Amino acid sequence: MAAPALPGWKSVRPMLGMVVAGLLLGLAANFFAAKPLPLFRAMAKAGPATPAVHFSEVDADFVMGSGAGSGTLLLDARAAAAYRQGHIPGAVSLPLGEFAQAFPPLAKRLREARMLVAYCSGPNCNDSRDLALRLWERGLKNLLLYKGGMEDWNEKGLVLDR
Amino acid sequence: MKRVLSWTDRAARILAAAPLQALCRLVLGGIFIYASLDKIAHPGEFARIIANYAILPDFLVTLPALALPWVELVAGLCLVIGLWPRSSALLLSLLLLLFMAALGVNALRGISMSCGCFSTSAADTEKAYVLVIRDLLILVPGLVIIFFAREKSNRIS
Repeated sequence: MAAPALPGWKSVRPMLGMVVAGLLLGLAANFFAAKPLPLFRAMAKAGPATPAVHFSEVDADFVMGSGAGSGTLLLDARAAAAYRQGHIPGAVSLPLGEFAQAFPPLAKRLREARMLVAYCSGPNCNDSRDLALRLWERGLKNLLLYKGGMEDWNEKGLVLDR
Repeated sequence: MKRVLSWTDRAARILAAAPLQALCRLVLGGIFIYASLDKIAHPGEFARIIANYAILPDFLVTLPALALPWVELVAGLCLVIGLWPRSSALLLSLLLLLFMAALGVNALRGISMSCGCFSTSAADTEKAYVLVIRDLLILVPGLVIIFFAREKSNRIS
């Protein structure tokens, strides 16, 4: 029985082979992929590490007081169907799920607003915050969250638009 | 004539035993095969995770994102079927050291990011020291193979 032996060149050579094989397989997979990645171009950083932005929160009173003429624009982050079933009066539909299509037509109006207040279905949904982050990335900084959202609005028995 | 074995010889004999070696190969290889799949499926997400580690310059992020999961898969498969077990174990152990270094560097820098260990999900976040300890545990079967696998009888019988 031999004592533990360090792996020699005989072990290193197949190892290098595996590294090369992995590299070639990865490149081949990328070549045949539906959307190949650019090999040497910097990628946009995304995901949780990007924004550590904190948005201030407002309550139903603030939302009620921010009617037409106040310069505040309410943004409904829920799906368009939910918006059609009932939303806070004056709110504009900007569904997070269809952000890419929904944002451009609204961009001008959003940039002209003095304040943007995002909400979604209730205090436990994240769509309003995610929507605010997307807008933040596009240069809009005057963002607020109505964290209570529809749930809070309905609990207070306030009117809805359809 | 009776040969007396020292305790180190006995330990070496136990660690070199075929069933233990096979178990180590299956565990280490299996872990890496499993870990490679989601990253192979989502190379773009994995590239972002590597970028978030903030160790490589951005333009050098794509190549490892493409190659690393395949290297894990190839070495893991080799290990499981018993082809070049010491080489594959050595490679996977070096990768583990690399991962620990990357995690450690960012733990010291205070950067918290998703690990990219077993999935490309952003929810794959865990305390860095937990991850380092996990990697250390995964390293154990690797070391058993590297130092005690017999050169011959490589394949699972």
